[in-house]
Amino acid sequence: MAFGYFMKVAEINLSNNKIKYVDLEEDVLRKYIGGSGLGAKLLYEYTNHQTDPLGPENVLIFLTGPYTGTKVFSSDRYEVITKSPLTGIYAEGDCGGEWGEKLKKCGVDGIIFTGKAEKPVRVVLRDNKIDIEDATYLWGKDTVEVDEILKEEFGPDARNLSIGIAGERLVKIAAIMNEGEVGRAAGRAGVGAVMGSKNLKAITVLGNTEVKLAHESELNDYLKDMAPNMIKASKRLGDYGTSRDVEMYEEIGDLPIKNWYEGNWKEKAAKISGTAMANSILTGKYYCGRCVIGCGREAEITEGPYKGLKCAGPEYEAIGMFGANCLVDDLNVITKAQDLCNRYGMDSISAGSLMSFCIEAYERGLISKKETGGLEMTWGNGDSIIKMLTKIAYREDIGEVLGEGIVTASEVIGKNSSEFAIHVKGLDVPAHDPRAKVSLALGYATSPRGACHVAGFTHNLEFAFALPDLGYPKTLDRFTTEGKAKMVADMQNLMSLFDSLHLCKFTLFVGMSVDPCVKCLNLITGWNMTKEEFLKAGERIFNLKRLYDVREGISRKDDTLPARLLMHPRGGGSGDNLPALNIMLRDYYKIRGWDEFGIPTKEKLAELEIEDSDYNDENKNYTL
Amino acid sequence: MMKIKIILYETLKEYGKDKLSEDNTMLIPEGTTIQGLADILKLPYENGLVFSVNNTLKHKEDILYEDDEVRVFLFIAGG
Repeated sequence: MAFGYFMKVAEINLSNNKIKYVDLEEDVLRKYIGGSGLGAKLLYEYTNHQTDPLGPENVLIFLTGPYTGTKVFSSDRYEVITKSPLTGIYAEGDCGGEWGEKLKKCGVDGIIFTGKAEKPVRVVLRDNKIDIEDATYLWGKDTVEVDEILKEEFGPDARNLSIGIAGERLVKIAAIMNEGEVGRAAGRAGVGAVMGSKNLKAITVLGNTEVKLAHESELNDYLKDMAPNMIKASKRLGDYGTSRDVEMYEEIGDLPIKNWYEGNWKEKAAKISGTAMANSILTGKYYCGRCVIGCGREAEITEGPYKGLKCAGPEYEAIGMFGANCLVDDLNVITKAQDLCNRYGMDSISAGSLMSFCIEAYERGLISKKETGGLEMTWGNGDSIIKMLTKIAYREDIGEVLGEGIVTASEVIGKNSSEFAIHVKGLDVPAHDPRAKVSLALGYATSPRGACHVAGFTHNLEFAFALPDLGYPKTLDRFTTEGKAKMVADMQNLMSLFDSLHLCKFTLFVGMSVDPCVKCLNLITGWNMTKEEFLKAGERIFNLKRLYDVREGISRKDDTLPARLLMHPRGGGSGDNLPALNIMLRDYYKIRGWDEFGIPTKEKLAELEIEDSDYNDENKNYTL
Repeated sequence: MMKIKIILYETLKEYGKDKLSEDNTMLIPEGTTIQGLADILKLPYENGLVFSVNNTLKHKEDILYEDDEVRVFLFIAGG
């Protein structure tokens, strides 16, 4: 038995209320670590190409990692893994708060939901005990209300996760939320709709069982030594939150402006920055479990139409997508939009992207007030954005079409609207521009769930950061393609490990780089894993996710970006620069050991010890 | 020696105390690089420092010149 794990996941069949435990083998954990890696393996085995993402045959997997429940910084996290109803491919969501720790302390490493309940249910996990209970009374409540009700019922130590109205209505950008009003989100790719499709409204975790660690006191001493520097180096992130650098992002061309079309928005950006928030609505900060940074924001609006609203303050992504990308320079509107997304349970990145898409369609005359239900969807019109978010959650007017995701929306609206539907593989592009940092282009094109900036987290190595113990002693030039293919692959492998260990990526550049990660893993598990074996596990995990997508039909043709990001120079801080994606992609496939169509070769899979009977079946031709 | 102007942002301001004059200028040896300036100021972190010279982002090995205006940010990865 390995330390740091309970060596089992609970499989809960919501169709017949049967619960069984699936034992985890140590050699599998050593190869896939936990969280995202183990989840990818389980998803690959439980689903197939025919699986309907919203059908009872899909699975919804919640997993912790070996770090979860230990004192490793910012490690009380969990991963949701499923087949996406938004994109039809691999989906995962990493989330903070304290729910992950409490789940693990129920004596399991995770839960797999199969089937579909006949009516709304909630699941309650205690120490080695699981109950499936009626949740009809919670249906129709928003995620903050659900948390309040369940805390009233189970006490303040209960940690609750739920879907909101959007998940209930199978809105395909629906998120899963935890920690109530502080709004922690497993946001992307429609994981909340899968939960809704199973009539699963909420999961409460009440565990108190401590996981055994191999070298606990040595681990804690090591972390104690590291803490002061981490606190000091991350001070600005704690003081000003994830939106601390909005102005700098605008200056270097990283901030999306007017649906990714414009290059300058200087004075306005200053109005919605983390500094502006600190000087206006900020009332406090929120720390996830074991966090020493505290980037979460607590806010109260003190003037205007949303006066009196107390809620989580907006993250950078919401500020970028609802703010600059919709030309909204009112922090109160953005805060209200974030709060609605949290309460309805919607991905604020995709919701913001749908707003800028809808506005551009309206401004170009492709849709009118008839479709919008009377709303004037114009640039900077915060009031209309707020009302449209409710229409998406409740599937009203054009909100029903938008809630199906940006690909479907552009198909329904038609004409040339796909030109400004900014997504990769159906997942909306987050608020970092690949024209400002070209590694993002390759990262977005090859991320397993579609456009994702945290699957590789590469843009930091093109701006102000180095990572010597991964082989990057100097910051790379942000505009050139040289060296980017290898760097993206290396970072994707490492970030796959962060999502599997369960570790917040914000700790990477303030202490938890590669060597400390390996050391902590070995102190927890008692393994003697080398750095090479560790990074190989990351490569294995990333390749397995690719294999999942390949099984769904993904190949080179899908590894691309919208024309606007590849062909339209936006000016401003990135000037005329455009990412040379095809050159980077060619090099990347070679480095990855994939063929010219982006398919992992049999030799690469053998090297990674990925045992895939489907892939090796001669009757199934994945090599095009 | 040559005179340059230096603007330190937020938590970095303390590193200019007793080194910068009231108009945020200081004298440094000719040929000093940005890394050299960071050493003179005893700036704190290897990771995250961003240098803008005359409104253009620069690398640490770039050389500074008379009357340059250097702005220094501490960037934090994430978000």
